[in-house]
Amino acid sequence: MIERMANGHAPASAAESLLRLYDERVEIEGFQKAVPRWCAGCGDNAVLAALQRLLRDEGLRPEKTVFVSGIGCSSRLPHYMNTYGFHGIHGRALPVAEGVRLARPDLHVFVNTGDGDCFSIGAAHWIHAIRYNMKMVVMVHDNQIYGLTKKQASPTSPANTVSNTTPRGSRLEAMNPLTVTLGVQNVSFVAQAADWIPEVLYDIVQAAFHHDGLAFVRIIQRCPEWMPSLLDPWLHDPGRVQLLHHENALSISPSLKMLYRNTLEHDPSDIHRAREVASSIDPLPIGILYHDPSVPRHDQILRENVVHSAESVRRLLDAEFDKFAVGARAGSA
Amino acid sequence: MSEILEALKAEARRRRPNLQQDRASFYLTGRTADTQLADVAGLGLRAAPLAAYRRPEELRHDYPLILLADPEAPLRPLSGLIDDLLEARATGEDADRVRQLGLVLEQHLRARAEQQVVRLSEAWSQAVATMTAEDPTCAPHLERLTAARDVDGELVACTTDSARRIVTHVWSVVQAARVQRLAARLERLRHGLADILAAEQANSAAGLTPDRIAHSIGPVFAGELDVTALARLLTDNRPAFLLSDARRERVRRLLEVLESQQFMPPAGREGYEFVYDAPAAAIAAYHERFTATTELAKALVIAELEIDGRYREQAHDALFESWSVADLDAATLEMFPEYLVHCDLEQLSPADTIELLEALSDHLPINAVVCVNDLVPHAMAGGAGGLSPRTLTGAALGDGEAFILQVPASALAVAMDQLVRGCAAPRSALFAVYTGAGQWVADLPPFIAAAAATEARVFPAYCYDPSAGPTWADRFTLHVNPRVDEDWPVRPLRYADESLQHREVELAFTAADFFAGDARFLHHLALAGDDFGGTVVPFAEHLAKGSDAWTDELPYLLMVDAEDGLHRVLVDRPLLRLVGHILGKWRRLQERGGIHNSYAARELAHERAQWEAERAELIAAAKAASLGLTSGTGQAGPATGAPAAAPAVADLLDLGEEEDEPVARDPYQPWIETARCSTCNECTLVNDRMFAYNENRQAYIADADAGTFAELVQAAENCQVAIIHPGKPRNPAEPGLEDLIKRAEPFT
Ligand SMILES: Cc1ncc(C[n+]2csc(CCOP(=O)(O)OP(=O)(O)O)c2C)c(N)n1
Ligand code: SF4
Ligand code: SF4
Ligand SMILES: [Mg+2]
Repeated sequence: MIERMANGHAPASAAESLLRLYDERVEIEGFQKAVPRWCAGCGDNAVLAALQRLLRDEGLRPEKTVFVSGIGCSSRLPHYMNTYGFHGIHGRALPVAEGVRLARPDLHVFVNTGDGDCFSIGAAHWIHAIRYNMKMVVMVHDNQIYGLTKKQASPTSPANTVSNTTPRGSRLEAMNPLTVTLGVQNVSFVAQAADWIPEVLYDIVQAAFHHDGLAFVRIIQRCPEWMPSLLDPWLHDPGRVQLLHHENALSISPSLKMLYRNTLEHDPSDIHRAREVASSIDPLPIGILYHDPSVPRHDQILRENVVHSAESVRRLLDAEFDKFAVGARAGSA
Repeated sequence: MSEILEALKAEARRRRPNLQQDRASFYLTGRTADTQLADVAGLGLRAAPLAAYRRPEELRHDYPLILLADPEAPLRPLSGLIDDLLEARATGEDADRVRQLGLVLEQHLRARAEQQVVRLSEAWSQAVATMTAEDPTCAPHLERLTAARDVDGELVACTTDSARRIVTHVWSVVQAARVQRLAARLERLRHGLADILAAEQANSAAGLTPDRIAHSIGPVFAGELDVTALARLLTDNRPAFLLSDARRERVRRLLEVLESQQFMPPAGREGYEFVYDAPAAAIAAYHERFTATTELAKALVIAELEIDGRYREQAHDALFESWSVADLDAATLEMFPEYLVHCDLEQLSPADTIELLEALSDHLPINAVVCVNDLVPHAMAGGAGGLSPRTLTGAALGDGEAFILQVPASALAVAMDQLVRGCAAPRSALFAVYTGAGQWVADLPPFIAAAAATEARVFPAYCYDPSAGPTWADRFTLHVNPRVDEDWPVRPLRYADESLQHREVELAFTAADFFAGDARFLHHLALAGDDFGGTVVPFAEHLAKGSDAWTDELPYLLMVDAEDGLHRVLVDRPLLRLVGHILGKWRRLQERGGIHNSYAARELAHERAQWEAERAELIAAAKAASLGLTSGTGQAGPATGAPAAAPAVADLLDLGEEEDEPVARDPYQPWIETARCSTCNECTLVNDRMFAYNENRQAYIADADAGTFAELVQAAENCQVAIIHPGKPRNPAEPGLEDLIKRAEPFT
């Protein structure tokens, strides 16, 4: 087991503990909905399983949780989660999630998006969401291809990827979304996970969930349908995966250490080192790259002193409606 | 002592044989009659270190304070504001002029504040008007400062009444923030509960009549819809959303409680009073409202559950039935308003005091501001017995449950953070403030008198905050006092002697210096005469020898008269004893604050002795070794050699969790490395009776006999992470085994 990062949660009062005793615990089946329509073997399944486990273990209530996505195979995830969900439009998962965060600060907000959805059509929203640092967990299922539309190169497809839009192989080197994210003002949490190491995937989403701000998690995801051998080198040779550990981040369990012998102690408060580590593709760094809990959250700054009372809502609505009112002008008959 | 000095002293004694006798007689009896000593009455004396503070209006100090509405910084000294403005705006070519005008403006404001309590903005415009009327050229420079001033509030000078006003202000600002949180929560809950009832109404047959539907659609489109058909459709086909009778009743009752409570009544309705003049009244009000507090606090918790849909009748009904305030969480109780009591120490009866102390000890939400107006002990003042500040704060401090801040009025701005903390703390707090009042011979402004009382250790400043940690070191601080690790603060005093030569002496400011300015102590003082040949010594020096020690060197104070003439003033024994007493108390307080701590000193001495003994032993051993002696244990090894056996690595390495035991596996049995399963569904699609998911949605072999060896091999091949191990065929009759065994080989 990889231990969860220390989080500053205050211990619950006796009364609160007593109340929790009577809360209904939702088991993993309670978070399942419909049969996933992903291809057999698709890495998206692993993300779904890790999240359902997280929700159960953290005792989250389905009606207090919302999954927001854009368009793509990965973006179908909210359909399979028995919580609130918003299957949005292509590239716009983040602005929708920001709206939810602001309007319903009591909900736990998760975002599932793809490499095409986030880094291509949604790139502008991605950058600004990092800067806004609103509390949510953002997971990019990076299969390095457009899966849903049957194989077009995405910004993270490696050079020479043959696809429907690049029949003679793509020309450009892949973009590194980790170093881009680490370059944005106000970045507060960046991690990289791999769908085929479920133990670490779980620990990372758990740490991300406890982070007080926007947690950006890139999940290297296998698409056996269109990129069947893309990740084989890393799957077949665990030495090419580098597990990050630190006393202020994750620690590696002994059984995992036996399989993944390539480990690196990395202090997640050091952004320069984080950028260096993040720029490596081989070995592939897996773990928490950067974490700064002190970065201010835009959702908190905006909501400071805002009391949403029945009265204030009525006042705001009236003010909006007044804009459309046709009032009699002074002097007119 | 040198011979010359000895000779001089003998000569002095010979020349004036009876002066020293007169002094000794005064020291013992406190009488000056029939002696050569003169009374001090009528001289208007004050302690020499206070000579510099004759014209307080010319001094820059913390007062007047500006009372602000900011709950984190509700006080700001005017001088601090002016400094900040000058720092920001006294720049460029006219920097010096702006600076000079800024300081003059401050003097004007201070003078105005001394006359009456006034708002800063008002006093400011008046002062600017006066200054520009006198000299119109200063207008543009002052305008720069005016434009930069971004705060406003009442300006309060230091008078004997201002302590109460200031602490009450800080309390009110902190209380307002607390009450604001409660108001917001009440509003949110009222809204949420009303929504539950409204939702039922909107979904009921009564809520879905054609009229209501038409009304909710509005006039523009209502004509385009058949609202009657729509009403029928909605009422016939939708599952009814009905609250159970019990829940509806519960929600109604909760709304009633939230709306009728008087802690934070909706606008326009009268609520409870929280500020009182007498402890008994505040405590009684708290007890009277106890049931209402419980009811509202409980309603807050239940309303949250209702709105979240988490209320379970089977469990919660019984649970809340038996709940009392003691069961509620601290965060809820912290939102409730607290009670403020302000009173003068001199007015507290013994019964009041006991009641107040009990309230503090029981954590009632009571903050008491007790103004102290007289520090002269009753015995010395010739009055009847009464409460001394030490009795009240000392008892509360001994009990250790309440927040306590003792501070002179002069240091209220310095102690602002502690004041705020005390008001915000969810437990009781006691603020004891010395106002600077007294019967001063020479006119002593309250600011100076209050500061002097703390300097002289007569009213030491301290703060005890039980929420700061478990130990005294965490909770108790004395640091507002000057020279906190000394008996008395010692400062240089500069003066001119008879031949107008500049002189400087180091002078301690003692409790005797403080009391000597009070009219009730005049008969404890006498002018020492002008011959000193070694027969009188400064007061602190005398005291240091032990206050009761009879020596032929009698204690004197340096005091100045109304014309700033310097006098040596003899002190009698009762005053000396009183000061000895005060010093003893100060030293005990120092110990509590970790200064000159006797336990620590004892521990240190013990450690030191031990260390020295060990060192001596080592030296002796080294010496013995250099003489070629062996240690005599018979085990002396070679000087260099194998190090002592290291503890087993396993003992040192704490892996933090159990190492996974390598499991001896039966090569015939199929198995899955479940912890590495990525839930990809490949195997479960092949055969979902053979392969199943565990409670973490990771695959395991549920029943190896539920399928064929061929299926096991196919799943192993399909598995993305190659964690399925098919084992050996279980049915020798299965067709194609030879090929299957070969295909299974990579997965063994
Ligand atoms: C505005 C818009 N443009 C294009 C599309 C077509 N489209 C659907 S999914 C997709 C790419 C999805 O790729 P990715 O986000 O990587 O998701 P994956 O399917 O790989 O999980 C595209 C281009 C669309 N639905 N909407
Ligand atoms: S196409 Fe790729 S990404 Fe999409 S479901 Fe299939 S395997 Fe998964
Ligand atoms: S095929 Fe492998 S990874 Fe997929 S569910 Fe089965 S065991 Fe897990
Ligand atoms: Mg993709």
